[in-house]
Amino acid sequence: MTDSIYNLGMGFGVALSPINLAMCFLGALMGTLVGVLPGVGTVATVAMLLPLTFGMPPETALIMLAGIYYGAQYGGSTTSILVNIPGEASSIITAIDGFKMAQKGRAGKALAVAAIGSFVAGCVSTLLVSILGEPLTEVALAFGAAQYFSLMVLGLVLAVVLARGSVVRALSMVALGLLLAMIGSDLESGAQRMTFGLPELSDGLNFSVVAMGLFGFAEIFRNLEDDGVDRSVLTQKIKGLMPTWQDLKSCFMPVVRGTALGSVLGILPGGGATISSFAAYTLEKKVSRNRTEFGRGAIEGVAAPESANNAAAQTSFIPLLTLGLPSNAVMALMIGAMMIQGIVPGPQVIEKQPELVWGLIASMWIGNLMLLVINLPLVGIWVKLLRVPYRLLFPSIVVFCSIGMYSINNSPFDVIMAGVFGLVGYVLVKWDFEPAPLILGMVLGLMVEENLRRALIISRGDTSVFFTSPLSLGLLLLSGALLILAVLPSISGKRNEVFVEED
Amino acid sequence: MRRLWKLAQCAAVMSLVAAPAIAQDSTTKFIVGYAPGGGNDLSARVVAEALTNSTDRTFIVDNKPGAGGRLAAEFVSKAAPDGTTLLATGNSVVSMAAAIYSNLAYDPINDLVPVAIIADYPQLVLIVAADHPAKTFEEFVEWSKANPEKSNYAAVAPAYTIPTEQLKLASGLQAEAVSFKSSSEALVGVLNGEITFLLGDHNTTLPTVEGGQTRALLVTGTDRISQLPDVPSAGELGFPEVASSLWTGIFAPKGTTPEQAEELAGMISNVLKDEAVQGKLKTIGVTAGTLVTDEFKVQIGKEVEAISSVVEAAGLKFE
Amino acid sequence: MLEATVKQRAAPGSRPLIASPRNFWGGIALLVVSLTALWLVSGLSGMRGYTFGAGTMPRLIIGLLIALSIGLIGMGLVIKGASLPRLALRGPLMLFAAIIFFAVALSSLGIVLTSFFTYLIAGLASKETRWGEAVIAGACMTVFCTALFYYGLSLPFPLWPSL
Repeated sequence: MTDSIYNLGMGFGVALSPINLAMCFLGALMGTLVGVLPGVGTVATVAMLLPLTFGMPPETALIMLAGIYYGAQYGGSTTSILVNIPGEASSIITAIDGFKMAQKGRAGKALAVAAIGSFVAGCVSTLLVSILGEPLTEVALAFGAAQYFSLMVLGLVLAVVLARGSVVRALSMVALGLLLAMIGSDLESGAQRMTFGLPELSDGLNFSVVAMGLFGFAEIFRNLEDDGVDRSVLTQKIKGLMPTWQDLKSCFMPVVRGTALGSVLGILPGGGATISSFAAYTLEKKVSRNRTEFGRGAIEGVAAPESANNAAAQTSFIPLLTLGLPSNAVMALMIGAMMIQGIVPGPQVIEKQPELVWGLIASMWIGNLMLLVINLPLVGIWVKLLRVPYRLLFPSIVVFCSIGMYSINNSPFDVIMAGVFGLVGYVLVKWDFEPAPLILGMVLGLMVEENLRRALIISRGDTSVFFTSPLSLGLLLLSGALLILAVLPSISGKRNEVFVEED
Repeated sequence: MRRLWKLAQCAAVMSLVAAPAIAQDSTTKFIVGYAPGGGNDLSARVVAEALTNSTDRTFIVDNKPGAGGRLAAEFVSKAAPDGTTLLATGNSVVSMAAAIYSNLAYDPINDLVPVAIIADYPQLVLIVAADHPAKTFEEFVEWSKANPEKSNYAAVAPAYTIPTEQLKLASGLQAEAVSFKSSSEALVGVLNGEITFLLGDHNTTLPTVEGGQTRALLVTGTDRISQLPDVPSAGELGFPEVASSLWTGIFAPKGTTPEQAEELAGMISNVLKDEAVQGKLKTIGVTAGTLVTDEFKVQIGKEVEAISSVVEAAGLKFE
Repeated sequence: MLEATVKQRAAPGSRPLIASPRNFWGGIALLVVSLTALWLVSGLSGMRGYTFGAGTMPRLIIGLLIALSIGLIGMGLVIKGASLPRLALRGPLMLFAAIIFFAVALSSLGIVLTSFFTYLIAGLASKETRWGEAVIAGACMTVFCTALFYYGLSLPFPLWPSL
């Protein structure tokens, strides 16, 4: 324990040097902007900046790249709340309650709570990374293919459970999402699945494109129905930019719970961080006193997932720092940056180059602080932006986002797909089907397949492997229980008299 | 108020509209078929930077990931042969692709003109988890024959799968292939016991060997490697044909004239002789390449033959 | 979270066949999608022993989706629910047209003209658009986007139409 404190102290020494502070700030700022811009992805930005890092000392390079990574999380949440466009998979959940809050004039509070919750989560998880980094890696290694599969199943069930309305409808959306995830070339054999011979589809549907259409464009379509009379945003006066003490008090436990869940799930390379926000949201929905408000603009519904995804973003560095294993594409790039600097990532990096590792960890805390400093004032600016009359704002959003979509692959096809999904999203919501479970299914689809396949090959076809592992069994039982709990009211409800159906 | 601000922005930027046209003609692009940060990408970047500094042209790297690198190959094969678009890729997209895939969108032998090899990958290392009972390769083969249902190896890319299958054929090693998208995921598999062994490059395998979490049982090729002096080579164990000759090479589109290719090859060779460049390549785990144009083409031909015979003998299927 | 229903005492002879058109037709739509997908993946290989083929997972998912669609159709027949939604035409379609225009025009018209006209076409979607205002706002937006994306981020699209 004292070791870690000493190391952390040394880390701060490294992180607080002027050049490292400056690069941390630059990274966080760029990350936020990248997260806000539709389409320009984190991976693409980090790739663009990789050559710049060749001339920097390794700690500085990593600090900047890490800043971009978690900065982008914040930026993605910003667009989720303001215009219902999730920037990353982890921001989808924030869009559910966050955007509703914005529509009720509480955008400022939503943004502020997202920033504050993320900061608190970041502090706690940074501490966890420094003190418990090595033991937590064991947790990461406890997950093999069967366990991951069960975790993914839990994720899918969470996607169903967090939706309002009919379980059958939510399930069908999840299943449809899973099907969409199958589009593209099969990773194992290279066979083209449902690609209609189009090379643009051979790598599957792009998350940003589908999210933009299903959430962003669909929202605009919705606002302009009734022959273009705006029924839009901000029908109510903006009620104060900052959350009140009451708001903050009610967010305290959600932040704590979100941080806990996010920290644990973030460690699992690959799937963990994605699921953390939906797990936190669902947990909150189940235990919160305010649960009827969830889906209609509950502030806890923003605080919990935001804390979770930021905690997960920090703890997902653990496998990188202790074993040299990247948890996602951005970290794989960071490994590339390290290698060009002559550092081969692996278990010995933490011994041979402690300044690098601890400097990075310390800078995470500093980066979170900087993000708070950058984002809170921005809240005012964003809210002013929302005051622009909708008739001028919406075409701007259309142009802006179309350019963003094009820029992902320099492909008009992506723009068209976003438009098509816009129509799909519009129709779905009118028909009482929720888009969130659909996109969540799409995000998890390939991981579900990969792990199911792998588990069966390793066990040589023995399906009991999912049930003999205590971890896997536990996750599956939890999924089953959640699903039953979700369906129960409907079954008993049919025996009762009159309820009002959602319209 | 908002409108005034927007108008002010308009005015400010209008004055910038008379900007100089971006000179696109003197830029050469290395198209890399993988996400940035991978071996091919890093090697290409090192060489691109060196070339930009030593010639009057600008060389940049453009990543076009997809279909295991083959999308980029297709793109370059159809590009104009004017020397501005070149492919930086590895054997899996050229020689291996020619041997194993039947319905490629490009012809690896005829649509791409080999220019030069820029990086040679060192021998592959076979690692098992530290707690595996087998201490030598022979013991390992015995164990695998006694426990075929537990023996799995990580199949990440044809570049590693093909030597592994060769090794299986030559030594009688039993193991089932389990696919992984990346070497790091495969490494996690070894560390948590699901995967018995993996045959991988230095950057994937050596760190955990040094850290004690894994043990190396052999290296491909005929010589031992300096980092692992106690680990026998495949040649010593009686399987000298189990060798991998992975490289990153530069290719030009079909229609590039031999003179253009020679010129480019010359520039690249010069850069690769520079000690600083060699040093940088060493830090990413590769050595500077030597073969150019015709010799390169011959090497590719040899590889296609060798790989085809392994694929046939092992009955491997790739779609 | 409750799937709420209104249960009516069936008046003799007046009970509609389709109690909940949204569920019913939604289920039918999903069934059509599932069957189309099934046809699309029919050429893909299936399981060989314990290894998945390319078509295995898609077929598993389609199976689930078919089951769910049938469930929805069943629900649609039995449980009363809201009637079919009224889908607007002008708004969504004009916007869709704007987006498609952008996609198609960008490489030939360049960012400046495409952004500007996309803005205007999108404006057609709303009855409240005032054209004088829209032209100015469109121009400003065009300048802003060009500055940000073309100059600032150096994204590779043409500025003007190639002559």
